[in-house]
Amino acid sequence: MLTHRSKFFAIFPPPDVLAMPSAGLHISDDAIRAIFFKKNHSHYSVNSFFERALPKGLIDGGIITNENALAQELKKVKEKMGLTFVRVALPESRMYLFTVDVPNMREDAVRGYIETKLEENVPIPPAEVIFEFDTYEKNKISVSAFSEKLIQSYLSACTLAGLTVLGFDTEPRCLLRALNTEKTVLYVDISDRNTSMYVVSSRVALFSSTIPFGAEAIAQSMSVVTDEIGKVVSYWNAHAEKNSITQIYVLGRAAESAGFVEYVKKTLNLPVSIANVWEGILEKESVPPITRSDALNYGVAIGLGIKE
Amino acid sequence: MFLPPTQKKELRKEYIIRLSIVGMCVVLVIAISVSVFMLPAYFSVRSQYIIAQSQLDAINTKAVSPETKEIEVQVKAINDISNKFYENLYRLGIVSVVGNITGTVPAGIKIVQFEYTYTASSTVDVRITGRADTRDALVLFKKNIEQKEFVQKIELPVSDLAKSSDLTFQMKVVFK
Repeated sequence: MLTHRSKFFAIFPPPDVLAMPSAGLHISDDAIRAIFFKKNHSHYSVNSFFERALPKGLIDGGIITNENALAQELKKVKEKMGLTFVRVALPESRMYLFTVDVPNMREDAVRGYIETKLEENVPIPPAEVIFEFDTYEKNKISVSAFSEKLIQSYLSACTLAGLTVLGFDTEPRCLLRALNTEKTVLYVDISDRNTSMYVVSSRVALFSSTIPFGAEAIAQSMSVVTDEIGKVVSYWNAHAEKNSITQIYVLGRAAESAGFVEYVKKTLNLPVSIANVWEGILEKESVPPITRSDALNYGVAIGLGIKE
Repeated sequence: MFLPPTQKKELRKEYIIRLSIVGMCVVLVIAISVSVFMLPAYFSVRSQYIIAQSQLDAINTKAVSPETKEIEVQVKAINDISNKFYENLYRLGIVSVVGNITGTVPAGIKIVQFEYTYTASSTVDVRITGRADTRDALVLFKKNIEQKEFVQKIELPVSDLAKSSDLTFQMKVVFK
């Protein structure tokens, strides 16, 4: 539901010079994907998009090994799309995701309470941690945390490339913005070299895992990735008091690999479908300029691009 | 979201700069639009002023016809006369001067001559010549005149008071 403030800004949108429209920038181990939307009332239209493959080893498991080299790659994306402001996704593989039961307290005191819980959930000193949280049930919150050093390395690569970062976000939160569901579901995002899995309930990521097998592994054997998906489903369903996984959504170009969806469906005995990353973003009649299979790789970037 | 504090500060600074620029632009646009909207009203008022001014000039030109000039000369003459009349009205007349002075003459004083003069500073000088039986009578006469509120000063030569009896005097009374 729109708040009075958002209603006001829907009627009187602020000028671009104040709104600072930004592109969604997803920097993964294998590629940089950027998408820039234009907003028309409540819907968006794709203004520009670009994907640039990264040399192997430039980003390893979410860690930037050479900031200057990444900055050069980012500069090419910036020049191609004419970007100034960006929102960047932080790698799921470097994220510490945990849930916390919060006693009844004022909303502004929750952050302080979480700080006391960081030490037991994140293996780095709390002073070097930057975190955000989402409430998914009464007195239950999901906390996403990153090392400040990691964030600084992404920030300096972008700054070196001449980009202004307006904000960072986690991959699951970006996907959730793009995809629309209230149920407890498992999102499987397959990139070339790894696969990220997010258990999502009430539009909040509660569990995440990344495995070092991606589209390249699926091309050789579907069972490797499917087994890992099966492990996450079993783990979650065994530990969840309620909210068992009822559906699996697959993203990434590999999702359209012949027979993959059917194979997972048959193996795990759960409904599996390919996620529609455009749902609720583009107008129903509009045709996205990105092909369906390519769009599956842009899930995170899309979620970032529609953030205001 | 997940921004280090330094970056948050930078963004806040950038936003404030942009907000100030937008604010200044808005003020400029308002100022220009107000000027543009006020321009027709300004021209209208200006033309009305010019019309009124020219009408006034026309009336003044008409008023300075030969008949009007003659009337103006007559009015001026009447005004001059009435001014003089009023000027003299407020001056002390000779009758009142004589009346006032004779009212103060004590016993033993005989006034022989009055000399009444208008001065340039619109005051009245009166020279009184006479004889006094005694010095005391003359001093009393002088004192009586001094007590009159319209008298500015009295000049009586000391030599006139040299004798104690049968004195001849000439005093000058300056009226306000």
